[in-house]
Amino acid sequence: MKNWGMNMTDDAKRDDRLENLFAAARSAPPEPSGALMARVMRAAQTEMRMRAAPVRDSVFARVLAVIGGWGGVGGLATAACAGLWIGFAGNVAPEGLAYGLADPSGASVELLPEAEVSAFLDGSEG
Amino acid sequence: MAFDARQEDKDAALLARYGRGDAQAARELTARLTPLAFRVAVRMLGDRDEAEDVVQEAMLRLWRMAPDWRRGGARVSTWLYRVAVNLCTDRLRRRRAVALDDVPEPEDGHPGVSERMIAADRAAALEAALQHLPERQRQAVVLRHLEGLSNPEIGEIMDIGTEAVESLVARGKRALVAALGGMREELGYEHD
Repeated sequence: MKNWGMNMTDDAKRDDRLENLFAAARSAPPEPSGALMARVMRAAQTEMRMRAAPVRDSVFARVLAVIGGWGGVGGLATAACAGLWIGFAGNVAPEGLAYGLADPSGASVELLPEAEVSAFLDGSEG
Repeated sequence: MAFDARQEDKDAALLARYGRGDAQAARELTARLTPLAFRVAVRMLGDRDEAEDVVQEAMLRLWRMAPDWRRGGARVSTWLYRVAVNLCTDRLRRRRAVALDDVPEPEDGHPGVSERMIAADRAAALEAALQHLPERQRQAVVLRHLEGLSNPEIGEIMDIGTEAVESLVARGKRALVAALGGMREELGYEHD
């Protein structure tokens, strides 16, 4: 049977001596070399420079900028589709392109009535 | 504790300055934090060359995350300890996978360790004995007794609860005493 009082004393003694070893290790820690410190510092500077350097645009990004961004791309696509349609439907009469612009009711408005034009011409001749 | 808080504020402030392109802040952070990461890596790996690789990688990660660092979260030093410890863990796992047969098995009495204790200085012998501890116990003992961190902070670094930290530290110390068993007189084992 163990003598617990004795064991506790031994444990305390052991812990004290272990703590002395820890203290010795704390007072003589492994130190990084100057070369390692220099490498760490160089890495810091490299990262800093990379962050500061402007990001170079790709060719696509530069083309996009020239045509006015994605809005420009939309306009170009619309124009290309219209060109294709006109090309395929080349035999359609040009007035067909204006379909829907004319008044569908067939009514017309005379901006210069024919009778008044005739009267004006008659008067000038007379 | 207030001193620790001021120190941490300084690390966070320096990191913010570095994130804005201040080279002097990088110099100060290098001087303050590289030794911390190196101490832990050497004590975890027992190899200075490998420890240097770990430190370089850990510090590179610090530089890269500087612009995104949010003050008020984890302490910078806690973050760095965690990264360094995890990198060491990865290396120890690779070591085990590559050369399992080459890892020296601890033997009763550990004459190598005790001889070193007598011949060389006690700090070096302790650090050699640390290499005989299971990895998680070694982490906990190094962070608690050599880095002087609190149990909650160690829990944050190791991603475990405070009670688990206490258990690991206690078991680690017992394992350390066993690893130093050859120095019975020095450690008060002569009555066992």
